[in-house]
Formats: sequence, C-alpha cells, structure tokens
Amino acid sequence: MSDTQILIDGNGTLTRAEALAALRAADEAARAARRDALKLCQTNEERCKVLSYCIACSLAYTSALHKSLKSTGPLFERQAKDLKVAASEVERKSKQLERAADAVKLLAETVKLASSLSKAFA
Amino acid sequence: MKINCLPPKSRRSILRDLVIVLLAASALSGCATVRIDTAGHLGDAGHQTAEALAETLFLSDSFLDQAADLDTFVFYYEAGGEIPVELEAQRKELFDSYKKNHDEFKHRRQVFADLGITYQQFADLADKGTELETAAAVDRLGSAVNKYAESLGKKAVFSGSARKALPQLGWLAAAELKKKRIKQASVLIRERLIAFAALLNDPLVKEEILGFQQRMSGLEGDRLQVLWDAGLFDPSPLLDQLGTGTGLQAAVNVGEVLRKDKPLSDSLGKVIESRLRRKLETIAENYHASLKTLEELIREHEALEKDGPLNLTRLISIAEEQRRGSKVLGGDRKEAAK
Repeated sequence: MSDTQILIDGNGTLTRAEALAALRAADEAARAARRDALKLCQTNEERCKVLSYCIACSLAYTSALHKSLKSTGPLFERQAKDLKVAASEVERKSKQLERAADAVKLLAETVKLASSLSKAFA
Repeated sequence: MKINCLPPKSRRSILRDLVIVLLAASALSGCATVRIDTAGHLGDAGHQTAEALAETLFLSDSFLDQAADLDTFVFYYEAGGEIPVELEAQRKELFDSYKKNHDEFKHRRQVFADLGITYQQFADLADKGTELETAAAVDRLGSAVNKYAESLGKKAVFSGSARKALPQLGWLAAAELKKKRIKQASVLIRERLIAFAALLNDPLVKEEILGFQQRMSGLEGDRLQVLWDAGLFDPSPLLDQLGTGTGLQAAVNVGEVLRKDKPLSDSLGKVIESRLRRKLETIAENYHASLKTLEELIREHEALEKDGPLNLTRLISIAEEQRRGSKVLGGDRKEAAK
C-alpha cells in the first residue's frame, strides 16, 4: 500500500510517504515561524491565535501519521503538491514578518493547506 | 546388542545398515560442517544487534514524557496569561495524538523484541540443542514480520511452522544433527531478516519512523531554545565543552556576562541551534546505519551457512556504534528495547 500512487493531476503522482513528509514539512515550517510570530504579538488574543494555528498544523501531521500507522486507505489531493511549496514559502515569509497580523495570516494559510491534505488520510 | 550372536544373514543386514548410516552421516556432515561455537557467537551478536536496533529506531517513553513536559512549560509561557478553553482542548488533543502514535510504534517495536528472543534461542540451540524453543521463536518472529507487512497492506511473508523445517533426523549423530539444525535455523532467521529489512526500506515506513523521531526531537529543540532565550539555562557546561581541548573553563560570572551582552548570548544560541540540527541529521544517519546493520547480520548468516569465516567483531562494533549514536540523541533509550 505504501508504494501506491494516485493521480493528483495530469502530470504527477504522490505517494503516501511523500504526502506525510509534506505534512511534516508544513508542521516544521509553522514551528519555525512560531517564535518570531509570537514576538510580534501585542495581545493575548493574538498569541492564542498563533498558538492555535501552530497546534492545528501539528495535529494535521500527527493525525495523518496515526492514520497512516493504522494503515487506513490513502486518498491524495491536489493540495499536497501546493503544500510542499507552501512549506518552504512559510519559512521564507516568516523571516520577513513585520506585523502580528501577517504572522497570523501566514499560519492560517498553512493550516488551511495542511488540513486539506490531512483529509486524504481520513 | 551382540552382533556375533545373531544369524549371519541378520548380522550382514545390520552391518550393511550401519555402513549406510555412517556414510549418510559422513555425507551430511559435509553439508553441515557449521561450527557450533561460531553459531552461538552469532546468536549472541544477533541478540545485541536486535537491542541496538530497537534503541536506535524508537523513542523511549522517558524521551516522549520529557518532550511533553517541555512543550507544556513553553506553551503556557508563550500563551502568556489566560488560555481559552478551546485552545487548552486543542493542546490536549495534540498531546493525546503524540501518545497514540508512540503507542503504535511500540507495537512495531515488538518485531525487535521477537528478533532478540529468536537470537537468544539460536544461541541456546547451539549451546544446548533446544530446537523446539528455537522453532517457536522463529515462528514468533515470522508472525511479527507478517503483522508489520500486513499493516503496510502487503501480503503476509511467512506461512507454516519453522518446527517442520528444522530437521528431525533422529538417526544422525547428535553433533551432526545439531549442526544441521543450526544451519536450517540460520536459513529461517535470515529469510525473516531479509523480509524485515525490505519493510524498513519501504519509503512510508522510513517516513513514519524517521519523521516522528525528527519531529519530536525538533520539538524538543524548539522548546529548549525558547527556554534558553528566557535565560533559564546555565551556559557554563556548554562553554566548558567548547574550551575542553585547551583546558579552558567558563568564567564564574558567565551567566551575567551573557545577560548583559545580547550578541554574545545570541551567538551561543546559534551553537545550540547548530547542535540541535546535527542531532536531527544523526537521527537520519542512525536509521540508515540500522539498515546496514541488518544487511551485515544477513551476510553473517550467509557466511555461517556456507561455513565461511564470520566477522562478528565488525557486527558487534556496528551495533555498539549505533547504541552510542542513540544515546547522543537524548538520554537513555534502553527502555525502548523493552
């Protein structure tokens, strides 16, 4: 099952291992952005939002890992590829953050992508 | 039995049978010249290797607990005040998922425990001739490998009992029978090692095991850095290490110096960051070293079966090297072998 590939678009395929690695990369990117994002937060509400998005990214990975370990059937979505690009993008952008709002927005985008891919493991 | 008392025909028949048995035994001993003491050593080395593999590939309970404690500490510190109920619930869900994944890995660790038991039995077979126990251990290992394969959606690799495969040739001389059984047991174990190495080479298994270890070590590193930034750690041991080669020691007031000099403190923070990065690289290196150890073990079995020389010193040194690597990665993982 692990080497099963499914078509995600006209040009390529993605294995479960690659999808899981993409989720982990998104989680790592969110974690890397977390410290700097928190430094920019002025209010408790902002801080909680950043933490919440980071946990959501982690949960997307750990839940997918658990489902993978439980070997449920995989379904892959187009967003998986976007997520790989997004993970490196998050890391790049996190170095240029200036406002807490940017940080929150960036993490929210990561969560959105991570949750769409994690559905593939449902 | 007094052969001379028997009628000549029976005597001839018995002598003929005896010659046949001796010829057969001598022919078989040619196929089974495996050295019993060498097999015993391979059993011991295999047992050590199985323990080293378990320690290297899986996180211990204590490591996970420590990472969770660190995460809790840093989470509340970073949240900086009242935490909404939903956020607390989300955090709990994440912690539960760490635990669930860790428990799943514990099931997989069973294969290594079974591998260790099999080698113990293999060593006993060489020492005392305990073929039934060896067959049972080989069966247990085969069944654990099968479960692992099934969890990956692959077909079960082994069927049937090893008991049937181990020779029951009662008329052979005891030593020859033992050698033949050792050889056959070696073949059975080797076949299971090959199947197991193939599973560990599976890209998904690699990502699951390696990814989780790297993720949890990365988390530990992130949290340690937050606490470092908060000035909670004494930098003296790290500075002592940096000065070891030249006999230099950290100054008594080093903490105070660093607190006053941010660039200096940040630079030391970079050393910590680089060490943590190396730690993550070591995890990947250890995984690949584990695969190499398995390959080495398979080669030793082949050598044993072909009556060739064994290089167990090399195997044991690879296993010890692996153990040292896993200790560098965060404390004692001996627990992982349990």
